[in-house]
Amino acid sequence: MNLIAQAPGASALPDYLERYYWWAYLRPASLRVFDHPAVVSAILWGQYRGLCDAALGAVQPGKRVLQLACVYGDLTPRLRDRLGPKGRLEVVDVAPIQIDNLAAKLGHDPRVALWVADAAAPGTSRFDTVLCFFLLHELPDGHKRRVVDAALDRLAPGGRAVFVDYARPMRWHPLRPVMRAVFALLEPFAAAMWRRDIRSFSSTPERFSWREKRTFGGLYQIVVAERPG
Amino acid sequence: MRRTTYLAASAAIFTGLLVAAWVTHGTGIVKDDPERNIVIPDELTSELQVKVAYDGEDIWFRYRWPVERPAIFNDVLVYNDGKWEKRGGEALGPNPDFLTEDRVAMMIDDGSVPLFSRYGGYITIGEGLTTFTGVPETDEERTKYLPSSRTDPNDFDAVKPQSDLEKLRAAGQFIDLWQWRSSRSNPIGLGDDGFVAEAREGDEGTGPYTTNFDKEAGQPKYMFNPEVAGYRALKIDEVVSGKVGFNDTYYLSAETAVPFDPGYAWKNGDTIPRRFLRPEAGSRGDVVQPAAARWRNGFWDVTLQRKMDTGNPLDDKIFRDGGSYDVAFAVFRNASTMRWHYISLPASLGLGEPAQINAKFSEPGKPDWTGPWTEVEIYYPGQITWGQLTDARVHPGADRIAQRVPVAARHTEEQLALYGVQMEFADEIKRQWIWTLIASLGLIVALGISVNLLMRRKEEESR
Repeated sequence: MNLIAQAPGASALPDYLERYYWWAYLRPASLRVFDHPAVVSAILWGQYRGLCDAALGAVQPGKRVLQLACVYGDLTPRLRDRLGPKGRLEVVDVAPIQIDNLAAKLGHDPRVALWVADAAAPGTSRFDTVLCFFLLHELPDGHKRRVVDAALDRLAPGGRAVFVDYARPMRWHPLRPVMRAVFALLEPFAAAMWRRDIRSFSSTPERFSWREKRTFGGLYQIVVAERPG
Repeated sequence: MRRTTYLAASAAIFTGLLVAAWVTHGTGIVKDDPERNIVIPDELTSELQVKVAYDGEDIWFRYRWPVERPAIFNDVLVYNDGKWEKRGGEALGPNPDFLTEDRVAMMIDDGSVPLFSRYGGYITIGEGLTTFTGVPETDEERTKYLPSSRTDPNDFDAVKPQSDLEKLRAAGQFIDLWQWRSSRSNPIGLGDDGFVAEAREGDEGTGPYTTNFDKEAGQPKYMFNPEVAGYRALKIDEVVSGKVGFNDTYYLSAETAVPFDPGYAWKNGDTIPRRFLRPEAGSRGDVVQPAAARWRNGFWDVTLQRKMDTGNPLDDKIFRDGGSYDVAFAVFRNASTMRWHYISLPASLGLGEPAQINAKFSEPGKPDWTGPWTEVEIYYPGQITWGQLTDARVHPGADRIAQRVPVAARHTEEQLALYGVQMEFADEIKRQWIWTLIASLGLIVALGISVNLLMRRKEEESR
C-alpha cells in the first residue's frame, strides 16, 4: 500500500491556492475535468507528451525521486514505471484531495510514498532527482523562491533537480497574446516566468550547474540544476 | 507534403469556422414567432407617470403615459357580403389595425399578500396561462392567480376547496385590480373594478360593457343612432386609418345607439362596435372617472376615482388616511390582455406616510395635482412564471426568493425586460451557446494544430 501521510508541520491550504486555483485543484469536479492526458495535452498546446519525456529522461532506474506537487495526466504513473524494482518515489502536495486522487491512480506500490505537505517543506530526505513539473508558475514569487531552494536543498550529491514550466516565448510566437490573456485571466503568478529565469529564484545558484532548454518557440522551458558529486 | 496538407487543412478549418462565426454573429435568435405566440416589442422599457390624491372620502389615481396613436376601438363588427364579421379585440402583439384598445391597470395590496410587495405581479403568473407559449387553447381563459389559491402553486387546476378560498379572501389574500380601457370603459367615463385571487375576475356586479352581437341572428344588437351620430355605422377604412376620433360618435351607449335595423341597405365596410357600453352596477362599478379621458399631444392622461372605503372588503382594498399600500402598474398600448404589455415593479404608496408614491391630501372633492409626477419605469415582462422564478434549476436567484429578497434589490427594470425576452428564447439561446462552444473549440484546436506544425518546421529548419 502507498504510504499516505500528513507531513509533520504541514499547514492548511495556502491562501493563493484557495483564492486563485480552487477551480483547478480543490474540487472533485476539477479532478473529473482535468485529470486526463488529453485534457492536459490540450492545455499545453499538444506539448504534454514531449515535456513529460524530457522530464522523465532525467530519471534513472533504481534512484530516489521526489516529485513536488501532483500533476494531472499520466506523468506520475510513467515516472513510477521508470523507477525499477529498487527505485523510490515520494510525492508531496499541499492539497489532500490531490494526494487522495494520485493514490487512487497509482494503486498499491511499496516503492511510492505520498505526503500531504507544502512543496517548500518536503521533508529532510535526500533524493537523486527532484521533479517540479508546471508548479512554479502557479506560486507567488516568494513561494517560488522557497520551492526552488527546497528542491535544490533536497538533492543528494550528484543529484539533479528538473524544472519544467512556462517561459517567455519568442516575440513572433502566435500564442504569445493568447497566453498573456490566459495568465491575466487565470494565472496571476505565471507572468513572472516570462520575466525571470528559474535560476534567479535560487538563493545559491552558484552551487549548482545549470542547463536550460527552451521548446515550442520558447513557450516552455526545461531547466536542470545539478549538485556536484 | 503531408505536413503542408495538414497545415492547409487546419487553416481551412480555421477560416471556415471564422467565416461561420462571422456570418452567424449578430444575426440574432430573438425574433417574432407567431407560431409560439411570441412578439417582442421594439422598445422593452417605457415610462408611466403617476399622481395620487385623497380627501378622506375618495381617492384619485392619475396616470400619464406616451402613446403615438391612441387606440379608441377594440373589437368591431364589419359588414361583408351579407355577413357581420368580427375584427380586432385579441391580437398577437400590437394590433396592426389599431383595433385593440389601450389600457392601464393597477394592482393594489394593503400588506395582506406579503409576496406582492416584494415581487409584484410576478406572483400571479402561474403555469399554463392563456397565450403562453406551448399552452393549448382552452374554452375558458386561464388567467392570473395567487399561489396561495392552489394546493400546488404550479398547477393551474389544483384550486383549493371553496371553503379554503373563502377563508383566504376574508384574510385579505387577494389583490385589488383597477383597469381603465380606452374603448370599453373610457367613452362613458368609467373604469373597471376587479381582483386577482383564485383567478382574475371582475368584482360583484356588472361591468361597463356587454356584447353587441346577436349570435342567433348573426348581426349586431345595436347600431349608431343616425339622429345623434349622423350615421348608422362607421366605415372600416376610416376606423383603421384613425380618421374617426374623439369628436366623432364612435361608441355605442344608451345615448348614442338605437336597435339594429336589419332591413337597412348595409354596404360592405360598414362598421359597428362589437361592445355596447352601459353603467356599471355593484362593487364592479366602484372605479370611475371624473370625466372621460382624452389623448392629447402624444399622451394618455387618465384619472380613476374610487371611494376610499367602498364597503366591499372582500373584493376591494380599503384605503385609510395614514395607511401604507403596495401598487404595481401595467400599460397596454394597442395590445390585448395578459402578455403584450409593460409592467412595473411594486411600489409603495403612502397616504400621509412616506413612500415611493406619496398621495396628496386634498380638499373635499378637489384632487390636488400640484405636486410632481412620480416617474415609474415600466418594461416588457416576457413570459416568466412564478414557478420558474422559484425553481433553482431555472432561476439562479430562486434561493433569494426563498429568503424573500425583493426583486428590486437584485434587478433593474431593464435587466428584467432582457431576462423576460431571454426566457422566451431559452432553448434557442442554449442551442446557440452550444454551437458557439463547438465553433470556439474547433478554432482553438485548429490554432493548436497550426502552431504545432509551424513550430516543428521552425525547429527542423534551425537544425
